[in-house]
Amino acid sequence: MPAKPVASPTSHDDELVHLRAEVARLKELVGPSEESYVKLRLDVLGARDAAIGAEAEAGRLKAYCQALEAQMVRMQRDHEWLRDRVITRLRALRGKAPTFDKVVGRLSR
Amino acid sequence: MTTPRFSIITPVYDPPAAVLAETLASVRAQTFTDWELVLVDDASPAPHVAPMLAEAASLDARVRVITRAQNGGIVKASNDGLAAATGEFIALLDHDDLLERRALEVVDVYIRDNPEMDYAYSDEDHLTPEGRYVNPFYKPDWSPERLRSQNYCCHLSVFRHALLDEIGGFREGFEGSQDYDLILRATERARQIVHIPFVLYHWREIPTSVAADPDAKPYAWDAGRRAVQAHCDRVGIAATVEESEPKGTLRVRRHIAGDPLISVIIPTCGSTGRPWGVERCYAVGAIESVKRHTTRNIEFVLVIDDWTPPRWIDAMQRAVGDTPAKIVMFDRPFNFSEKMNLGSVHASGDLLLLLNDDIEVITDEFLDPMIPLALEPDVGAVGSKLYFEDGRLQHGGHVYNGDPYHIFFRRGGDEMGPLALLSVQRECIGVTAACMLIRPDVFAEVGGFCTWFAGNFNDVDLNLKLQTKGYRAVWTPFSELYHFESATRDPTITVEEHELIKMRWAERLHHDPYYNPNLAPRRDDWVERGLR
Repeated sequence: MPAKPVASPTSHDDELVHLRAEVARLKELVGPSEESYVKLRLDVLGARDAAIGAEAEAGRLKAYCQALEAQMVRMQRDHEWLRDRVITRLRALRGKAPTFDKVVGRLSR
Repeated sequence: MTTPRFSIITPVYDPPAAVLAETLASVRAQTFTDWELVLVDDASPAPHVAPMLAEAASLDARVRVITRAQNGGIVKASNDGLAAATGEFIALLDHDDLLERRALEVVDVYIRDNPEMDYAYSDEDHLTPEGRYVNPFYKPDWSPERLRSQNYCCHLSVFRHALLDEIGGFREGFEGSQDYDLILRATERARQIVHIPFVLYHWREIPTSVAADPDAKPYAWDAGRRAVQAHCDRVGIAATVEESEPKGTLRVRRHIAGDPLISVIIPTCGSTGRPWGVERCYAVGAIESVKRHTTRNIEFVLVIDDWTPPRWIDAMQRAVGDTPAKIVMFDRPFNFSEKMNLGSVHASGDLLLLLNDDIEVITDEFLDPMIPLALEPDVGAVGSKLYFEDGRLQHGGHVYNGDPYHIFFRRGGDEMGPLALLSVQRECIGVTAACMLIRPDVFAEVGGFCTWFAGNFNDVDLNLKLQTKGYRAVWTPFSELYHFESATRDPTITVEEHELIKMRWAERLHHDPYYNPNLAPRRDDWVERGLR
């Protein structure tokens, strides 16, 4: 019966050496030293945090804009209501004073 | 014949006449009229039952009575009712409880607002024999881990009829917790689950009901345990479910797959103090207690201010001993967030345990309840139960209801909280970074801690970032530690920090899904909101 294959200690050592070389190669890709790799990762964290913060801020501003828009629409409606009310009241006075006709005509335009 | 919106199913077995009359009257009084009531008489021996049911049917065409030839128990009776029901939605009502007058009207509003709703549950309270409404249970929004720990949904439960047909109705073998089993199976498949934060159901306290006496139906607890075990098996949670304290709560003891490496990140400046009257370097104590209370595969990442006395750095190294460790020197002004972020990029673990240095572990194998939770894909952060030096509660999860708070802060360490809130594993909006387990990819995805928050609210901000990315935070009472909070830094929250967290998160600080709009804002102790 053939013996089961057993991984020799040398193969582990070889693998470790190979992995270390790979780590060194990758680190070389991102910078000249380990510190710059760490700094890069911290920068990535900071950038992601800033992105989320910006998203939240954008959402807040969007909500603020919508609130302002809603307020503006309401104010326009109030303004129109008030104008119609003034015109109606003035029309009721039409003919009673000549200057009112001029005012009503101007407002209605 | 048109399909009613709601079928109310009520299995009936020997209720007192007056009680049954009140139950029936509560249905007839509904402001929403498109319903049918399916009463299933499970061969009640009491002579008043059949005539009362017949009279109810004769008075209102929407009331239907099914009479079983022989007593079959709650499951068989409920399934008979389900088979006879024609409504689009099924509401469950026990034969001695009351529906609030506007219950169905309110549920209908929520259904119209949430067209994919397959299951809804409302808040509830108890009705005493004297006719008083007490013990309101203001529930959290959908909280799956809490449901695995206790049947918090309970009453009033409303299911889409088609979903109940799909899952095959109630199951035999779970008598006493048949509704718990049904809710678990329904929520596994529901497209949308809705919490209705109104008390729509009054659960009557009678000596034989669980509402009055948790020991009334001991078999129900075991049935509940088996229901949750079956649920875990179905959804792929490798766990053993055990009955826990207080009665009616469960502990889902998850199994840990493999041997993940945990990076224990401790930021420190080598502060010293005298907890329990004994001088210590906090970080040394923390390292020693972590090592003493876990056999898991850990590495330490110590982020040490460069002005830390060398003798304490030596002491930390001695405490670390043979355990793999990285010592990272920090040469900038105090900033907890920066230190943790720096530690995280030096860590190589499958999980990061963010740990304050003023910590002392209590529970043996304290990481075991936390690890499998943190490895679940939709879990962002896992927190544990922390006590002050004197045994009072320091951390039972966060609540953000206008301002961020620790739940039941400084209350007795052994308090269970309302409805065992502090005794069960559950979701909460956030957990403290004094002891937080998180996956490194998740930590990186949200950009770690925001460095604007040097001292306070960094964890609140992190939790809210996790929430925006769709992650759940889970708190467990089964991992306990002492936290000599703020022993190593000035705990004062500055106006700027307060303004900053409010500016950054605005409305999110007011809408905690695991709180309840019926509870008072800006409090940590689940006090009912005053009259509005």
